[in-house]
Amino acid sequence: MEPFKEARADVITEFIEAAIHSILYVRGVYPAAIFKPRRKYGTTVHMCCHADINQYIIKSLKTVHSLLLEVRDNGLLIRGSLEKVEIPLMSKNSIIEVFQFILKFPDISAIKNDTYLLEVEESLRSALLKISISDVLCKPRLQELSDHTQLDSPPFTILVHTEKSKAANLTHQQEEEGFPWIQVNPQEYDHTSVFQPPTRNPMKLTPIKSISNEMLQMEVQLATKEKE
Amino acid sequence: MAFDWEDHKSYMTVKRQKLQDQLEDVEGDGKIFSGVTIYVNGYTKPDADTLKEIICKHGGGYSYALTSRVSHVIATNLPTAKIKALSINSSKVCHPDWILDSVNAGSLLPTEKYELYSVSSKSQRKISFSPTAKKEAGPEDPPTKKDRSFVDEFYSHSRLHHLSTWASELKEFTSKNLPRAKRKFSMLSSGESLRRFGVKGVVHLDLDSFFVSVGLRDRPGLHGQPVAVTHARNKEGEADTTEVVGVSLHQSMSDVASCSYEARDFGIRNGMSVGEAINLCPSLTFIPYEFEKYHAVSQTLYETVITYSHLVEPVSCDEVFIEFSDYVTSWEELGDIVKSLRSEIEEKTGCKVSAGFSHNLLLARLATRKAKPNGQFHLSEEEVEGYLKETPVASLPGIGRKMKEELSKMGVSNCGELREVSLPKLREVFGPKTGYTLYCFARGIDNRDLTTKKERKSISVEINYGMRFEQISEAESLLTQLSEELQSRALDTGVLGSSISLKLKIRQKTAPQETKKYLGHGRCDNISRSQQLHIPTNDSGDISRVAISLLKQLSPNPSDIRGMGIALNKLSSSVKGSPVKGGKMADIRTLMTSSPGKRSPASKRSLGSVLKSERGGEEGASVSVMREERVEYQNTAAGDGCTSFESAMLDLPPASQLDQSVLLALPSDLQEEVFDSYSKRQDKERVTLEPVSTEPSLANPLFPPSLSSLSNGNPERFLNETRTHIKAWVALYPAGPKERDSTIFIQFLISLIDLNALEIVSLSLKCFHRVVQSITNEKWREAYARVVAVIQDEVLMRYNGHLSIPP
Repeated sequence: MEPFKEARADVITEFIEAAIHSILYVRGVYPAAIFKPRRKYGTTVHMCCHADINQYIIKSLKTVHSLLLEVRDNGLLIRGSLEKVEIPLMSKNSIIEVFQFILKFPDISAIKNDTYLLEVEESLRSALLKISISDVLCKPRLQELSDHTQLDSPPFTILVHTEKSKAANLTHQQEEEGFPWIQVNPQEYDHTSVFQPPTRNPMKLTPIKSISNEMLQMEVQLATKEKE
Repeated sequence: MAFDWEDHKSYMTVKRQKLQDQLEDVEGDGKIFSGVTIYVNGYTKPDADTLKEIICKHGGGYSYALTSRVSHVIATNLPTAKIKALSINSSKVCHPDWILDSVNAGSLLPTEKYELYSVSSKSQRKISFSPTAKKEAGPEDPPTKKDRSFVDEFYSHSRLHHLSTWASELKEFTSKNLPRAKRKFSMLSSGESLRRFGVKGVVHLDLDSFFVSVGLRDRPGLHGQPVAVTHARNKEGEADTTEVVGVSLHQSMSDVASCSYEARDFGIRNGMSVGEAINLCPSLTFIPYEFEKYHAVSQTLYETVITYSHLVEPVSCDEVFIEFSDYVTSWEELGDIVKSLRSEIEEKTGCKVSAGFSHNLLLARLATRKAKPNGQFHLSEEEVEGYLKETPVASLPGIGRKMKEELSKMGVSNCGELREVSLPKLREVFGPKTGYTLYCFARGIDNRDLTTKKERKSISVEINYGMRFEQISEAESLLTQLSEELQSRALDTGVLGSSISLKLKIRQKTAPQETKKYLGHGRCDNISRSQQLHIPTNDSGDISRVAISLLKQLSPNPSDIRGMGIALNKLSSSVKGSPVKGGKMADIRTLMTSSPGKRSPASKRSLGSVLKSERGGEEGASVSVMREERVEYQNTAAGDGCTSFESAMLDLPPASQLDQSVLLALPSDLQEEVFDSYSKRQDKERVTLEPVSTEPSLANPLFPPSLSSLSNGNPERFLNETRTHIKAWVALYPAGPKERDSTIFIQFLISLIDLNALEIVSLSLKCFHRVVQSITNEKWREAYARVVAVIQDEVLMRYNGHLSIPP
């Protein structure tokens, strides 16, 4: 039970890390020069080499990992303690695109058929590949993003959707490690939240990949603004 | 004589003839037994040979085997298994003395005294739907009555039916009469009322053991004695004898509908079986139902109540919520009002009333528990906590058997323990909404307001009693009857429904054929299926057609059906009084959208199906009238191209028109399905007069490929299958898709959204778009647009976004 959870947390965190790097590269958030090709799941992923960016990603994902360990298995396909990880890409203080990783967890306490995680790896590889070509799915590259001098907001962030109680815990613990989490202003991010009533500015959704296997159900999708 | 026996049959024919000839050799002198053929089973006295001689002498027949010619079986002793076998033939099993005595008397004696077992009384009775049984009904019966007898009879006896129809009647009554009713006292100016203190004054009135106390009004001798109301026969012989013949009360499975407080002291509870109850209290007296009286009493109750307050919520025929906030200033005053209300009701109806009152609905209801019998109780705010602690969770509204079990697993049996459970925990187990409600209820918090006017969500008829079919046609004819009942109810309430669902109770595989409760439904699986309509309807013809086609889709084994119900959902209001046929409303649209050339084959086809559906139903003159009316309607509806509910078989294109290449492209299970449909149709063709069908339609929908292959981790194959289906679907209907198939496709896509497989939804729709674009047909484009609109709405609701697919 516990080792399985840990393995699952490891696998998902690892994937999201690779995916974030891939997104940053594909969408041209940072200049291509700071990326170096690496191999992951038998495919090429361009990884960012800037230490501060990497620190931000790693520390954020540490939290994701800890949340994944707390996912309960209570006989249902639940939206557990970690529901969604979102990577909004911003330009001139407003969000242009959001990459979403929506997670659900099948009710099993261990892998039964796929002992060597071959299927899991296969599906993660295909998801990564899809992300690496996702620039054809959305608008032309975000040229202005590369011009960092104009930016007065970070070009990307990592949003984690979790339960209220977990969020409260989180702020408490992480402050000690010097990496605080803050609750986002719903006004600013409202169109990315599932809980908001579908009112103004519905996003245009482009599903990138749906994964469903013994370990997890994940939907990777790209949300863009419907009207500019 | 050398014979070449071609087969067994001819051998038997000759043999039987020979035996018959032998018998005729025995010259008879009397005709006592003319028309009687006996078969002797087992040891008898006198023996079989003697009996044979006697019976042939007196003009009867003798059979060596149990054939259909046999009218009487002669035996002295038979095991049950054999009786069952014999009962198939419906021949009587008689003692040999019957023959001897008949001969002595010189005439054919009635068999009653000699019957070993009367087949009909011993095993469970069947309700007959077959035409022969109808003919046996007396000639003075009006013909409509004959056809509807079962449903009518059922509804005139069913207790639940009465109660439920009254509840809706009473609700209507109160909402109609409330504004008009004269009030006993004037409303206080709002500043003075209880509301000033921020509380509501809610009273919950409940008649004490309603059925019993009404029954006791006319039976003063039974006061103070244990009494129960039930269908079962009373020991004094007073009551209903339609049921339980030859079964002693001790084994009776009839329910105790209501019992007096004296009976409750013996441990008898409502809903207990009569057998159980009588074991607990041998002196228990049973009285029958008296529905008219109950009705009158609850009418009086409500008439009285509405003179007291303008806020009244009827709960059932003997239960009502009243709010007094605007009339009284203190709880003492309210107590006095309740007292006078109770005495007025008791005076008018002769029934005792209990009342609980408090500051919200929940507490008022719970207070009534303590008020009973014949008392009143005010649950004040200070007492709430202590009172709730002792209250078992089961008495909270909305907690049934399942939830109670769930709670007891958590170690919770009363509200005090329920308070200990945290809100997140409750939400986790029972879902966010129910969890929160429980959390509040445990603390005596209830913010609900009295609902004086309730809107109906659905309207339904259901019968779960006495259902024993042999033929599927019997089930269909019952559905027709139920549809009529449903139509009349829809007319009474003035609504139209745009969705029809069929509910079936199917005997569980392990459940016994004969149920413990007499003609009950026993353990069952509930299955249901519904069909969306394009045009709202309340016409019984429409309803029954849909219901029957749904029944065909579910194709249950007729002998396993234990209950059937039809519900009309998604209601909209209509003019009361006359049924609105879907077809009539479609008329204008039909004229606008369809060319006259297209309509003739469609109407021809529906003629064929109408002829078929009328078969075995009404006979003679009524058929022709019905037929014309139906055909006219079909003409308009079928021409519209979207309301075709005929049996799927009739919609199949002729086999010759089937594109073989498409068929071969289908996965093997689908191919089988297609072949299966065709072979079924061939069977049908023999009975159908004219299965004209020019318009192809999807027999069994191509969708969905089973969703399990998706979760088994092969999304690519799944996607490819889906694409194949879409292509085949479009190729099969060059003229445009059937509404039904589009609906199925939409449902399929929605179930994919449920599974979070948004990618596949989007790719499937893109494929659909491509295929539709490649052909030039407006109908398909419209269908695509419709599907996309629905899916986009669905996605918007869940993800707050639209899929990026071509509109």
